[in-house]
Amino acid sequence: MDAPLLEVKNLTIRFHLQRGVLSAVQNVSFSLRAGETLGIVGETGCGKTVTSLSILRLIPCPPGNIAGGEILFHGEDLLKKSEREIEKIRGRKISMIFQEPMTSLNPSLTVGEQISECYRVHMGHSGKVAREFTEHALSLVQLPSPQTVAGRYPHELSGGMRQRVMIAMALACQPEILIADEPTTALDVTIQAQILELLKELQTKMKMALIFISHNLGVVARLCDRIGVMYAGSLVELSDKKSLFTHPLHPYTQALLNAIPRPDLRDETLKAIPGSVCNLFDPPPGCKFHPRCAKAKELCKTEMPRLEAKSGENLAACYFPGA
Amino acid sequence: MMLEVKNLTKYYDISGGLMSRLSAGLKLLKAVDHIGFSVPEGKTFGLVGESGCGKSTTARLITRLIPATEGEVFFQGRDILRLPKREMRELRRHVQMIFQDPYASLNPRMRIIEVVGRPLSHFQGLKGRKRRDRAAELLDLVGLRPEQLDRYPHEFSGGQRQRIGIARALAAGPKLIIADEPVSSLDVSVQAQVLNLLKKLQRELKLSLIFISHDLNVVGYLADIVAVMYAGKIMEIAPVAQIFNAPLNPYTKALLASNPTVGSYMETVRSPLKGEVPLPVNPPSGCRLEPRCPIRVDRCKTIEPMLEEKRTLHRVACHEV
Repeated sequence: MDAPLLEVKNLTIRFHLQRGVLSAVQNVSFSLRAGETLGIVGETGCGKTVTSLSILRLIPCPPGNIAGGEILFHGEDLLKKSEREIEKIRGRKISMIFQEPMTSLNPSLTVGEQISECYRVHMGHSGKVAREFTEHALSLVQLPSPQTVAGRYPHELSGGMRQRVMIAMALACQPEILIADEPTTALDVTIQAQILELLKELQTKMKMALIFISHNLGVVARLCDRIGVMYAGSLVELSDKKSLFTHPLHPYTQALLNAIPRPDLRDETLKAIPGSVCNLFDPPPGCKFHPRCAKAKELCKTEMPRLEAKSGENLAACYFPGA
Repeated sequence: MMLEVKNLTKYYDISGGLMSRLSAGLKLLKAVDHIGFSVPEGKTFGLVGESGCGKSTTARLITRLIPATEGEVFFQGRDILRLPKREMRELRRHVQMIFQDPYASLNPRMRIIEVVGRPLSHFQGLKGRKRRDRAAELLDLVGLRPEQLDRYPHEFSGGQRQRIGIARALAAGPKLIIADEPVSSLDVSVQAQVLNLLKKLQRELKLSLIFISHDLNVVGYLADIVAVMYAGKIMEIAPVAQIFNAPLNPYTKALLASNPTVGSYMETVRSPLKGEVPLPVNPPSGCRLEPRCPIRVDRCKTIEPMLEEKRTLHRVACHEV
């Protein structure tokens, strides 16, 4: 098997805040193969965004602190690189799109100026060449009349169009990895479908790997090959798509799937997960899901389970996985 | 019928100042355009659609939070929109609302006893000990503890705040509750708790519920009847099973096909509707969906389709159905 393109090993991230130390990410490990689509799902505060930001070294330090672990890209640890070296990777080899395109675009520059910057800075193209590339990039994301759009300011575009602009910008340098953090959450469902279709199409065309972060299991279901589930800072399951939806290993994954309302099961009471997510300033000992878990035994209350292969290549961090 | 809405309309004049009106003409945003539906007693009526389709405006029109341009809203036979102020105040007791943002819809300076107690004293005339006891009962009913009455909103999580919002609505003793995206800002595990609660309360208290959401899964789970809105118009109304199993309007079909469900993990992504969701500013005379519709014909451009009964209890606005 090929060496993975990206390997995250035992990543631990803490935030030193006034209220105390918040452990946002704990011992997270996963790998990404070239061309693959990896989904990361979880609820608010589970650490999915922090994990993805750390890959591009976008965690503000302080208050953030990468307390341990490695992020290997082509075998080299991104955490050990200098700021200048990272700048050559960020946006060029690995790029990212965010949830709310309005806050990640500069409101005082036209769309064209912002995209062409990628070509000038990363590829060293002249202004004129960069402009041509920009128009090409805008047509690639299927924006009507790219020339006109290039002259527009972000506020003149709709949410769906802005997200297309973001994608054009992120893909300008043909990165090997695209990290998409909830890129369709702010969009309407028919527009969301358009953006997902576009992402999939471009991914195949450019043969890049995609890390897709979302709270919406349905979205991840359609898009991804493998899916990681995070809970309270830990990766609790990492399975291929089909296994995850047919035979989820971790009780949290099972509970999450059962909590989604389905029109075909309207006569049944939803199986809500009792309680709420643990306090990340003071997480419980053992498995962090144990206070809400129906299967929890004594062992779960004291020993934190490690993410291990439980069924074929599917991993789970649980002492009592499966049905 | 608990509520009957007829020809309900809200136009916003967005022409700007006199000069731009003279040069560019009148610009009308037809947020809600002559819609009609009825909500049977003790049932949940789901209103679903994408942003800007007019679903929230509809909720605000019914509760008279904003004035309607035209139309009638009959609540138990009386037209809400034409009630004098005093009678309207009395009627508000029967029609209550739950809002989307549990952070914005609770006054941060009010203790929960005040939040829930105000409608109790205002509508039920309860005071002192009696008011507190009733507030404690309500808190218990929505799954919170009575000792939390003296806390402030910031001490609660999003899901708990939404429960407080529900308790506040129930405090008035309503017959009809209008819930505008009440679970949209909640995580799925908490969302399930609140949905269960709403379903339970609705059954036990025999409430009528208008449930507004952009999330088809949530509406499909909770509603008995579903209306699909697009650009200020109702495209289809039917019992929930018919909407989900045998939708007729091309927009409903597209919405369902775009809806990501966990059951669809073997399907590839595809987008059935191209183009943008339009804002209905000076909309053309034909069908609102026409520019994006996969089955449009010539007359769709000029003749507006009426909402007609195409099957039993199943009304659709489309020429081609």
